[in-house]
Amino acid sequence: MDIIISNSSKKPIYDQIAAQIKDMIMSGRLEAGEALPSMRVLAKELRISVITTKRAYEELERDGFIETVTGRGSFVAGRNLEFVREEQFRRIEEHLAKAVDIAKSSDIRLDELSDVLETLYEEI
Amino acid sequence: MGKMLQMEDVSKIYDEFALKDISFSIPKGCIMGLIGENGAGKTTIVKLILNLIQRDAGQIHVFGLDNIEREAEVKKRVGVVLDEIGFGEELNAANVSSIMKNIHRNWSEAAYSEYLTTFNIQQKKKIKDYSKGMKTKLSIAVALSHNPDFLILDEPTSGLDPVIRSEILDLLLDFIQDEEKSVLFSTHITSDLEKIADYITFIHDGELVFSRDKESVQDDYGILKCTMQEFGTIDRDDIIGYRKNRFGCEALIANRQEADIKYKGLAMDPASLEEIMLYYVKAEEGGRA
Amino acid sequence: MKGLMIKDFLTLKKSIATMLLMNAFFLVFAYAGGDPSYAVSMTAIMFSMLTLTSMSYDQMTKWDRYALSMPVSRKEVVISKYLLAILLSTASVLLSFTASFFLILPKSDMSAQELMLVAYTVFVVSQVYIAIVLPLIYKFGVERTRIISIGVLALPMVFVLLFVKSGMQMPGEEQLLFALKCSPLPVMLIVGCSFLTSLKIYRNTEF
Repeated sequence: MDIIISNSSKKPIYDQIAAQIKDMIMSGRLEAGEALPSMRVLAKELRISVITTKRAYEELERDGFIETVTGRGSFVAGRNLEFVREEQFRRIEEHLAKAVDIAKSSDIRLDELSDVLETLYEEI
Repeated sequence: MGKMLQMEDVSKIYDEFALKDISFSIPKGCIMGLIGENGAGKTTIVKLILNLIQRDAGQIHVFGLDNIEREAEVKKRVGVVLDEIGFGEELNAANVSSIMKNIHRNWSEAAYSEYLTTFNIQQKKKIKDYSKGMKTKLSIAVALSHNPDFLILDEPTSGLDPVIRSEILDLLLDFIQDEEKSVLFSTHITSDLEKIADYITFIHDGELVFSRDKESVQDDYGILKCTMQEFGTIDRDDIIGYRKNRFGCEALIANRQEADIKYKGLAMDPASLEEIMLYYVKAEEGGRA
Repeated sequence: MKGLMIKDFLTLKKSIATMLLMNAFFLVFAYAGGDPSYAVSMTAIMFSMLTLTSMSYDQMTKWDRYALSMPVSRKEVVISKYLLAILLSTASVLLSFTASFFLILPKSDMSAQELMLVAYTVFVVSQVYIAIVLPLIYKFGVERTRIISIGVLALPMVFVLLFVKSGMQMPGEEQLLFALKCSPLPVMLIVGCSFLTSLKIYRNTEF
């Protein structure tokens, strides 16, 4: 499992870690039920505070990507994954619906809206 | 879960210096960095914890035990590394073991030998022939070989090169893989703490400035950079300390996220621990409006 | 406490070896002069100084500060120092007495009993020396005490000199013997008080 963090990025470190792990889970590189390194080991290897790794794992758990069992460690969430993905889509639809609303009411065309979406996807 | 260390309203008064109302705690399973300029009171705090000096007020509990009433019990579980190794120059590592196994009941000869091997310290070499780095490593080996739960280090890395410092930091990270153990690391080399500390306690001129998790410190503090003119428009309450140069001004801000919105357009950088320390001191020297 | 004593002996290894060598020299001189008591007294003085050396080492390496951060009580530290001093002085007196007894006594015109008396007197003096010097070191540190201790040794000699000059009657042999017979208890009391004083000082010392 590869995790690369950058100190100079605007994104907080816990966010970088969470994002990379989410990515690996979504793309299948980390499978359901697979064990994640413990927060402490991760902190030690990356040379960061265990509070940071804890925060990253907490976020992943909150968003349903992993499950932490006291005394045993953290594991990629199983069956919930499909639901999580569906949930993420639902949230995206909600946000996009609002964007479409604004676009239509201000006479902004679909292709213009698509351009914005493309730019944002590349930038963030 | 109990705290590893709890200091409440601790004070120590000398003729020319006073440590006042220090209160902070260290949870289990973490590394706390104690920072402050020379003479700020860091070593005084360490000495008070170890009862090497008498406190004038307050309470200190280690493992939930009063550090004076249960002194012996506390010290059995504490490993200490001070800035100088206490053993005489004529002794060697093997001698140290003979001494220590009669002082600590749970001294592990096996663990000690292993540390010596890892640190590349020969059993029969006299301490007077050690480099400073080796002396520190021996101190650490001794401190760790009786399986302590709480490791206290007072300026252990001063005068050591980055390679050795890095090895020592790795050791400390290894130590707290056990969630029941903690480290208190007092130093003015803040870059070491920037890497491995979980919490930071900042002492300045005998007073506690803050004791909080390192991440929030890094999130909140910032250095604002602006022109002399722009400096005039900034709310004095937002600034902790500042420094003027010929081409502009730099100021330490305690709440970077807020200030970013308030003073839109002005350059704001995250502040390093060293900068935070510097600007607090500068505030005293009139670097405050 | 065992650990503390081991540390002291390991640290003093070289110094003790040097002292033993000097002891050999004193024996040679004593042999040449036919005076067995010479070796006994000189050795005792030298070994008593070793305690000062040990305390001096401790001060230099900041040993106390380090030791007290371990499960070692202040009481143990003081006890170990007194034990060290008493052991060293006793061992040295016995050693030089035995050596003088077998090597020099036959050559001199002193009786065995006289030599024993000398040895015992030297022993008493060394214990009183320890009793005076150790609390001084705890209070004032090694350097200042060094100067004072030379005075302490010189004091009895000055005292005797003045006594003789004043023309008063020197205590007779019987009286001196009597004093020596009674001495064990007062000596123990003096050392005991010294210990308590040192302990009190040490308990209030900050490191």
